[in-house]
Amino acid sequence: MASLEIDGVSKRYGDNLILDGVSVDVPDGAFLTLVGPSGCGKSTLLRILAGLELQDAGSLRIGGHEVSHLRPSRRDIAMVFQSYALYPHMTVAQNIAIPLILRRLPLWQRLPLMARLLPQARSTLARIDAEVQAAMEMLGLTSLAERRPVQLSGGQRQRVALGRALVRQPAVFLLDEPLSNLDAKLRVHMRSEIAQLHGRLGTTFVYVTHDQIEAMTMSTHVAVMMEGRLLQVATPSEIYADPADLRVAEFIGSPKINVLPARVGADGTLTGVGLPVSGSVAAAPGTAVQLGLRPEHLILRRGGGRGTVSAIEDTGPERFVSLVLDASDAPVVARVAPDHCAGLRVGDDVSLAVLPGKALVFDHAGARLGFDHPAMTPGEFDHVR
Amino acid sequence: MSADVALSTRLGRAKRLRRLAEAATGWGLALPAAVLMLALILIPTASAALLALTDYQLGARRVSFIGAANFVEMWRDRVFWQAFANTLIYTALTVPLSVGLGLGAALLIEADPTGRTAFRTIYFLPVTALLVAMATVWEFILHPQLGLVNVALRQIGIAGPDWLASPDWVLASLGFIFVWQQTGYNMILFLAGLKGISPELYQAARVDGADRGVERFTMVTWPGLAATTLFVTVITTLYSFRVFDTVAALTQGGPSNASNVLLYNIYREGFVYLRTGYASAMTLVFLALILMVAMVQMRARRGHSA
Ligand SMILES: Nc1ncnc2c1ncn2[C@@H]1O[C@H](COP(=O)(O)OP(=O)(O)O)[C@@H](O)[C@H]1O
Ligand SMILES: [Mg+2]
Repeated sequence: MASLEIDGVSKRYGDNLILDGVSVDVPDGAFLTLVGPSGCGKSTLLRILAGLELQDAGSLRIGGHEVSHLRPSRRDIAMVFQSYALYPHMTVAQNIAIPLILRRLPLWQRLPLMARLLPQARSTLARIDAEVQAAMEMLGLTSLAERRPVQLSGGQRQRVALGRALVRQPAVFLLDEPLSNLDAKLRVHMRSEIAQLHGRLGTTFVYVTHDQIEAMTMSTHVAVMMEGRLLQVATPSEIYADPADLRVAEFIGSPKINVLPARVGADGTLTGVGLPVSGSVAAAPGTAVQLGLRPEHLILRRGGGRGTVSAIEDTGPERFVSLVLDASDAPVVARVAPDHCAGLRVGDDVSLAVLPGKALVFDHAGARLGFDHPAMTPGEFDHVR
Repeated sequence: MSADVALSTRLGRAKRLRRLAEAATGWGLALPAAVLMLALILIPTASAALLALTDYQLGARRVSFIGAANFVEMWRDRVFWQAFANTLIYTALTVPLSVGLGLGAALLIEADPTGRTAFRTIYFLPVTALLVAMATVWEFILHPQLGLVNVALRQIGIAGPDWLASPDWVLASLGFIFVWQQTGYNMILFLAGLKGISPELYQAARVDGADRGVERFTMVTWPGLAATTLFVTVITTLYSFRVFDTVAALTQGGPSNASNVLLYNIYREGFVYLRTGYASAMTLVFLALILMVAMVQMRARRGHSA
């Protein structure tokens, strides 16, 4: 168990800067998820943490100790790979035992006959076997102990990979997209299994994924990464409600956040949006800004002539209404209750309002701007609703 | 009721017809391959089997059936047994060397990407060379006085033997030429095998604590190459059994049969002494040997995939 501090890590492959001064600290026992689009450098950062790759600059501390100069086996980390990377010629039990055998038995004692002849090697092997059994029990693998990886399903292989990682009781677990090779249903199941495992072990986890749902549901800390930089590190709810950057707001949340162009008016109010947004922006009048509106923060009403419905999708528990604003021609999606505006049809005329205090304002480059909104009285809220 | 029966017989006939058509298509598709196999493998083998039971001599007018007499003669033929032993020795010498060196070269090239293409080409070059043509070059390299090898040895005070004329060295010299050529071929096969091993396995091994190269080799590389190694060994063994061109070009089996091998012996009996029947009998024995090696591979393969 250990805290993890990544400080100013950079990495270049040839002319490409893959990691650009990445820094993040998490406390002992955290579940840190690195999330970002494919190719943004997540795996590279994880491999650097593991010691499989050397950073060009920056330092790594695990439990307060610098580990950059240590080889992978000395860093007290375990890693689960995307392809599981199980040794195909070994059984489940052997795969799980390998990290212990490599650590506790010198090379010559691993020879087949030696283990049988030397009492000392024999007792070490017996202890290893007990630990492997415990790990297999924890993951429900006991009945599969003698199978080889080819004889296992994707989910079972995944569990073996987890077993090989946890049998050593490392200080930090590194997981690189461990669920991406599973089918959708199993993915949901393994998601909760891994989260439970984290709860039970209490070890620090670093989890890489490109799936925002995994990031939001499992983590204590989410780090959103793009083009080799960390845009924001925060709790899942902060990342969602309080994004520091438009790219973060756009990456997290489905359907995607609506982005509307706007301009700062004389008194800081927003103009040119095509719907009323109360509040004042901390920017000079005339500045072009981008307004981010989550679909569930929009209030949709029939009539009023602000926009036209272009599509309606019912998922069962909720309804997504796509519309085009008359003022800006911008497409907007609103998420409403399934029975809201019953009988609404494509082409209908609607009006739109924003839940007070929910509008997010970004500058032209995507950095978040302060946005003061007047305190709402309960009465006013009813009115808007 | 009877309508049902009629219908079902009609359906049955339709089904039978369709199955017949399917079978015909299958045979049609297999025909070209079957004809080739018949013409190139089965008919020659059958002819050899027939000839092996006769005293036929190339160009002779008469031929008589002599039963197993050719095989009895073979059993007593010292030259045949010497060729047999030479072939086994030659194989035992060349297979481990060319497989081992091929694997070593592949590992070295994989380990260090600098100059990979250049090394790959250099090692593969001998494979593309026509051995009969290269034999002349080797003859010169191995020349007792002027040859590169002995000149080099003389520099360090060793008087090298006449490599191709010494009964002690001739097999080894021919084997060396084979290894020189086969290593590059084996290397290419091993390189392909290495490409099939996931790099994540090596990374997993390093995280698991396999710090030494030899540990990663035994945990990842060697098991990952099992199928390749089997294939390479069998192929090399078969090629080694079939050695002929270097013998024919450089030593003609000499001195005094020291480099006589099975295939060269067959050639000599059949085309120099014109004893076609006897050569056919030896060909059958040779074929049986080759089949045995192929069967070992098939058996091992099945065990491997199970
Ligand atoms: N060994 C390498 N050599 C050169 N480029 C690499 C190497 N590994 C990764 N890259 C590049 O670095 C970028 C980030 O890769 P990666 O960390 O795997 O992304 P992610 O895991 O976020 O999808 C990619 O553009 C990839 O092509
Ligand atoms: Mg990746």
